[in-house]
Amino acid sequence: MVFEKSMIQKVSNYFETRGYQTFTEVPILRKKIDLIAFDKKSSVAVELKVKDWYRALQQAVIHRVLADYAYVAIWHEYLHRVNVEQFKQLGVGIIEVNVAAIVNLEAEKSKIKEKRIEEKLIQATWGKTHD
Amino acid sequence: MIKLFYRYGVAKDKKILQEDVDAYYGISFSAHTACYYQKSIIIFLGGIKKPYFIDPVTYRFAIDLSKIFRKEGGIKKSFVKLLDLYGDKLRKIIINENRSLRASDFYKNESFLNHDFINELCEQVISFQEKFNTEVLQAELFTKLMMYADKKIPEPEKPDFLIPPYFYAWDTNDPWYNISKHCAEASRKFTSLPISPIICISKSVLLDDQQLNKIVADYDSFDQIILWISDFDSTQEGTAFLRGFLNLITKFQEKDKEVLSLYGNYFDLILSKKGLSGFSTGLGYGESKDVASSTGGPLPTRYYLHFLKYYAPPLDAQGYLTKHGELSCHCKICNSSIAIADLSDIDAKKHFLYSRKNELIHIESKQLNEICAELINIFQKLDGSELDIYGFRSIHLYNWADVLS
Repeated sequence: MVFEKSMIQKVSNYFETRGYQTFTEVPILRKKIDLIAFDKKSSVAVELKVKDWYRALQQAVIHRVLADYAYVAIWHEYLHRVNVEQFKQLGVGIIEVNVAAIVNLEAEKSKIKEKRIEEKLIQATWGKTHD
Repeated sequence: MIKLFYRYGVAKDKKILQEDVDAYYGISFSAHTACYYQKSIIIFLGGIKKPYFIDPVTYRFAIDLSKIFRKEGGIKKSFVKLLDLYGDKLRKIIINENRSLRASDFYKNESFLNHDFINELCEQVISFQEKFNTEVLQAELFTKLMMYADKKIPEPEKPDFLIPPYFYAWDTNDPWYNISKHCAEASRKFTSLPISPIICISKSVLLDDQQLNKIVADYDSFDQIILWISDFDSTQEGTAFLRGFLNLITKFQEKDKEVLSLYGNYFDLILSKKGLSGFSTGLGYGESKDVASSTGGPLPTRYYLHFLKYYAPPLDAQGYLTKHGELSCHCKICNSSIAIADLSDIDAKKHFLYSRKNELIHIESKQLNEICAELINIFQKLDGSELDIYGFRSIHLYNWADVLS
């Protein structure tokens, strides 16, 4: 049985080893983003699902409004089900999670990011660091 | 012109509705809200000088009472206040016996109605609506308060029409159907104002022509009818239910009846071309309603997508519209520099008010076949699979056009 909780730790580790600061379950505008990662230059939003890649994609495509890069993290056993072309068309990246997380498809930098919404995201994560 | 009533939900709606009184025909209130905030509502009505009606919400007392309970337990104060106004018999059942109304409460035995109870309930329900603002306006203390606040005492306006007690029925064989009908008839003797019964029924009847005929025949003696098809959401229903709804309106119209819909959306707006006289909706909610839904509580902010004719979470709307700028709204709220996802609840509601006003003007100026062609055109233009990614759909536009053309 694969739990999203164990997946989230692996994805967190992936970004942290690359110099990002990560935040999990970030509430913003009545939604909850599974993982947000910031470094000095960019922001990344990750939606995690064990196997329901389409639902994750639906969420991730909206995350492009508030982060530079949007990813879906999916358990490796279900990766073959994913329609990679659809991800490419929408600019959403794929993270494969096994014993560790690795990027399977690079996300395209969002051209639809709203600065003000990203600021809200920063405020939301700031709130989490001061919980 | 179709009569668009806005349902008064929360206090902040007042400011929005005061700002553009030309955007709608009138206001509707739920009775528990009306009695709980009576004075401020009267001042509001005096300021906007618009027609109004009060939904007596009696159905609430015949379904699971937990729907009108507070989180901490006990019946909500607004409903307790309403029960004080609706007569001793109803109050005793709900408060003292701590149970919902039963159909048997309205019968003495299997075949004889309990006229004492029906009359008491009808008289109280009708009296509350009819005297809603006259008694308060005549009260000495209220006059003094208004003078002290340097506000003009509003002229007492009576509701456009009065609504008898009504209850939800599954179909025309349900005993609650007959009880509502008897209440509608009995209410006449307590007022000289027009009576508009609410027919509150499940959507299953829409698929049964015989039941529709029976409803139309049973309410033949009323000039105006209000329909509430529980859980009928025209953006979600298939064409069979949509046709059934249209059928019911047509049947009433053939008998020269005015028909209003208690909860409506853009589909109801177009139905004005097929005989619907008007409908009520909330600002940001209330396009459809299931009788079993709970009352009150804050609702999430929703953004009206004018091209899809329904609401979406603001962040989802922002995601789609940032990519499809050509579909963006150009009302004064959306033209401001605020991002959709960042709109305040008030601004999201104002955006809806302006959008609906434009829709009203648009529908007025077009023929039905032109409107249907527009719906088909939008449906064909939008990429269904891309909409689906954002959790949106457009098939209802096609269904509406299919049913109406």
